[in-house]
Amino acid sequence: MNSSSLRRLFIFAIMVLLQSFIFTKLPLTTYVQPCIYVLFILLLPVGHSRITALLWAFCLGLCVDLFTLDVIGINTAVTVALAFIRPYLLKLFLPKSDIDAFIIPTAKILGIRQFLGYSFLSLLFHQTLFFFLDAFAFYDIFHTLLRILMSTVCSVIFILLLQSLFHETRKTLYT
Amino acid sequence: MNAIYRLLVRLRVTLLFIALEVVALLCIINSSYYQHSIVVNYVRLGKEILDEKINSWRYYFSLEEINERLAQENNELQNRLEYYNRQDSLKQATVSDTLSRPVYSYIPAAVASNSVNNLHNYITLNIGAAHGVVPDMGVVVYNGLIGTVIHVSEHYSLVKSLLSANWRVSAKVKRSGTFGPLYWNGINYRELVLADIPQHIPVAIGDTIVSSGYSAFFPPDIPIGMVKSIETKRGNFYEITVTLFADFKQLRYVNVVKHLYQDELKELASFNYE
Repeated sequence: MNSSSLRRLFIFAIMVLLQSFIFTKLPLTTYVQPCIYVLFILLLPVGHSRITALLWAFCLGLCVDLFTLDVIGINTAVTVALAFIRPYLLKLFLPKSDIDAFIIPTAKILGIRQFLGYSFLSLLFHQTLFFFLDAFAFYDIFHTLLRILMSTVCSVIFILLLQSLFHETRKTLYT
Repeated sequence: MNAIYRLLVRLRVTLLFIALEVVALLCIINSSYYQHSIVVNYVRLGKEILDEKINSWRYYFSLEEINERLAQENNELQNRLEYYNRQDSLKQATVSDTLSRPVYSYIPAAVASNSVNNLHNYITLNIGAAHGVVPDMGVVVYNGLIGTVIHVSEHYSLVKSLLSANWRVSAKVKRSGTFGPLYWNGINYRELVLADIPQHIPVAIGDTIVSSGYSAFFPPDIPIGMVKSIETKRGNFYEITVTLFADFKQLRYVNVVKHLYQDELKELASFNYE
């Protein structure tokens, strides 16, 4: 185990702990459930092996599921799906030459506008799947849609803040 | 053979994706409350302790508020006591009725962790099997119903909150005694919906809704909330929005209800009509 995978494990643990002890406990309304652990998936290197990304996503979702009191499997299913479509999302926001490069898509590297679009689309996808899985037989589509939108916006704000906290160290994070 | 192998290699990402999704979906389908709570019991031991630590800080900062609420509860109980005492003193002769024993007893508990933001919310209490809690016990506060115990470990118990979408308990309009299912529609954690109240029943905004006592979970006549608005849905029935008295977000101390004759009730209910 080299230092870069140790670092990644460290961030993994921080994400799970932040999500399950702080962000799911924020005294907000039922409409807003900030979901910040996705940042881990968002910041995997661009040219990363897709298989490993899927496995990371699976572990991440499972940990979050186990630590928050919900039906086990929802976060897992959703996060794996996000990891699966992430390369296609990245293609929208990266110049063609960088698609296979081993860079980390932070706001600094992508540019703030691109990063905003990238994280917003990812979160929108993530939250949409999440709430429809959570609601399952739930009838009130209007409220579900409102939930998705508000949670996505809230999560993106938190994710922007969080990734700017890591901003300086991030360059050497996964290399 | 070689061609199949190459196909598998080319599709390996998709295949892994499908496999992981299947595992996750199987997890969702299989995590019934029971299995779920078992897993949670193992995984959360550490989390429990951390949660309690964090909560104890939070409690410290809200002590004043808790005091106030306790005083208010005391006051309410005092009033009820006064009411019963007065009734007794009016009686001409006291009949000591050895047949009427108390039906419910209460076990006090503190909330270890709590949520109100999901569609299905759970509460963890700091008492468990060691304190005499068993599954299917009701959980109440003096001004509201909270949920039912679904799983217990030695020192903790997991409670399914009343804030679980479409999970129904029976409640009645205090004024007329008409009862109907009370449930959460998942929108606002301060409001529940009381359905199936016939239109000829007089209901006004501000009326009190109390528990009906038609299940072994909850004792009758615990005040739950106030009628906020009345709508007519599905023909002849009112759908009443009820504002809760109890604030689920600020739950600190609750009572677990022990029905002293629950076994007897269950036995009677399962009686076979030949």
